[in-house]
Amino acid sequence: MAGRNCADIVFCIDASGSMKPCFDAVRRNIADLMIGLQADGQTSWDVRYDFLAFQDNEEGVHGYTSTRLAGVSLINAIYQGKDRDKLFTRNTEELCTALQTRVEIEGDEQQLTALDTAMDFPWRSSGDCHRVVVLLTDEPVETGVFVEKQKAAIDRMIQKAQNKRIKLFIIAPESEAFFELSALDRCEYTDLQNTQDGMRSVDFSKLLQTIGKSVSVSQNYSGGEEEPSPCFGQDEWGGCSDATFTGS
Amino acid sequence: MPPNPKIGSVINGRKGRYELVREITQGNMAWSLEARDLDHGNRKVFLKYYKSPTPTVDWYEGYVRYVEEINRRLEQSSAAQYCVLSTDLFTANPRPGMCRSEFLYQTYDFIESGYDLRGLLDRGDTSWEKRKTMAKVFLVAMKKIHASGVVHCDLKPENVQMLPDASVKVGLIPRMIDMDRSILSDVEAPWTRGEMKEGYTGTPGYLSPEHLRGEKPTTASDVFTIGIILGELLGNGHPFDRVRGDAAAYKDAVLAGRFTPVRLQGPLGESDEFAAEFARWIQLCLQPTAAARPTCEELHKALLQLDKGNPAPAPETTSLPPDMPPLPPEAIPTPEKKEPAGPRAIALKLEGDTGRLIQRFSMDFGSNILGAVSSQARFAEKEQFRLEYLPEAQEWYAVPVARVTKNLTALNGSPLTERTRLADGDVICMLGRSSGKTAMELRVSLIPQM
Repeated sequence: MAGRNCADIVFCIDASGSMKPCFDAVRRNIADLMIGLQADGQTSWDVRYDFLAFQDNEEGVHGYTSTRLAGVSLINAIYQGKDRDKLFTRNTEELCTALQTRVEIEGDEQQLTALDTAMDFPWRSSGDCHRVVVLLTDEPVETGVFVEKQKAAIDRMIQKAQNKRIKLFIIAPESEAFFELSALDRCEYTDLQNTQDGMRSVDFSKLLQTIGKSVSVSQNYSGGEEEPSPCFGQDEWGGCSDATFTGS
Repeated sequence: MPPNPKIGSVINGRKGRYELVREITQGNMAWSLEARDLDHGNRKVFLKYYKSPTPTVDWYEGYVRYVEEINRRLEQSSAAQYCVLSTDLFTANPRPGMCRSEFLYQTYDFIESGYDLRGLLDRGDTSWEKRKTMAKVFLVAMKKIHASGVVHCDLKPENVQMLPDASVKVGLIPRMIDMDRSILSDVEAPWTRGEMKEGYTGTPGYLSPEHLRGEKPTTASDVFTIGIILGELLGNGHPFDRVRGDAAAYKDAVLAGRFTPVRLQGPLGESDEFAAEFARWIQLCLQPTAAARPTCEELHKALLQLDKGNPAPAPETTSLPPDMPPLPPEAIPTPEKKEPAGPRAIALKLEGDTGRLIQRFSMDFGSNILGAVSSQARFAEKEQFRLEYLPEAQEWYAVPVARVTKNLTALNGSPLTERTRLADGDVICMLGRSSGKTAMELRVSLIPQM
């Protein structure tokens, strides 16, 4: 029961071109959500945060950014263990600033690949800490790139998330792939009716409550998988520039 | 559970087709909805749509059979009338045509007129006689449930529904809810085995020592939580109140048996001595060693006997650990004198920098309505706090909203964290969570008569 109020949270954020009109609002909402969690006077929390902002293209080039790392450095930190201590921060201001200054909005999206990568962040032990991934996107998987390849990995991703004891929140439009993924135990899928309003229709305070409740009420169980287990071969991706890398 | 339930959609169950009417609550494990059973005259049902377990976990099939067995045992015993039992249990696809995934559902009879123990405890104006009655019927219910071989595992005041029932002498019958993760005394719970195993469910602030040690809860674990609930219902409050918000401190206190001594708020059998004796029984329930706790049956018998003015028989099953002697009656502090009744008021005036309003009934307050009295109402949310009026007592209370707000509501400069009685001259304002700055000061005046 140790670590009842301990959590690692990764926001997996679509940074493709279509998010341009709403990215600022999403960023503000994430900031509010983090402040809300920290200011919860009911319980004491030990929360670490990070984000993985993603953009992809049809050539299999991915642009991933986190609070302190980007591109191949980020992939190497996750899968090779280099600079792994640069993943996760307790400094919410640092994360918000990074979201504002380090993320460029462009390209297409390959949500499940990014989500799978987010699930491989170096979590604290599942026996001590709740592991949470929040996926935010304005597009269904079906309109992105490498759709079939992504959908073929859903069962493995469910297995992986369950093995790693990850609690997944999906905030996305209606999508067959997300419906399939939501079969993951304790997953929460908020299917957006309107994606043109900067996700204003998303009740972030309710999301905050739900995350807070699930983290404070449920117990942790160790024995979950600790090592990265990429479903898309991310551990073999190679860098093509500072900010991007290839692999499809 | 996911995807979100779609109001108006129809879910095909085993025993009926259920049209979703409205969402009632969203919990950690399931959505709770009101639904209509289209195959049985549109009967109103309570429907649970589960986030967990989903069929993707390796213990899912075992779980469904296990819940069916719990239902069967309860149905076939005298405990049936004390539980809200499942009427349909099934796996179904919430969005046929859109996805292949299926999820777990359960339906229950819809409870229209009940209230839970939490609501009663929060009211604070329930008579001592009624509290004793509630305690007695609650213990009868738990005694019967334990006799059927079932451990509730997640007892808390919110899970004890009190229903009016003219067929019983006391006119009231308790029914336990949220038994989705209850366990059978003699069969291991399927979710505690396998690669995706989980632990036993419980609620922070009500977890038993067995929960906290990761052991299988037993009927004695329920008795521990019953001790806490009795402390709230009959005594001077939650015995672990000081630490219940801090998981680590709560665990330490529970495992060390460090609790606030229980003192009853009224007599039993018209005697303070018998009340002190039952307080000791409640303290026995709170012992960290399961074997030191009485059974529900013993506890019930003791309460009945003491309230009749007879000495209670000593508990047969407990053997108190040497370092945990029961408190002698003289060591139990005498009840504090009741606070004298405060000023009564039939209305309340709320005055800001741009206006004032007179309130005569309970209402939620937010940025819209506060805009009429303050130039700084923008710091409040649409629902920021509630002013509650108790007409019988002519008392006013400020109540924080249940969800997290961007700015805190403060009363006289301190965050409003619980329902608090208002006094003349109190000041309600907004308090920045991180900045600590205040805004939108509203002065409260109580109006004794118009």
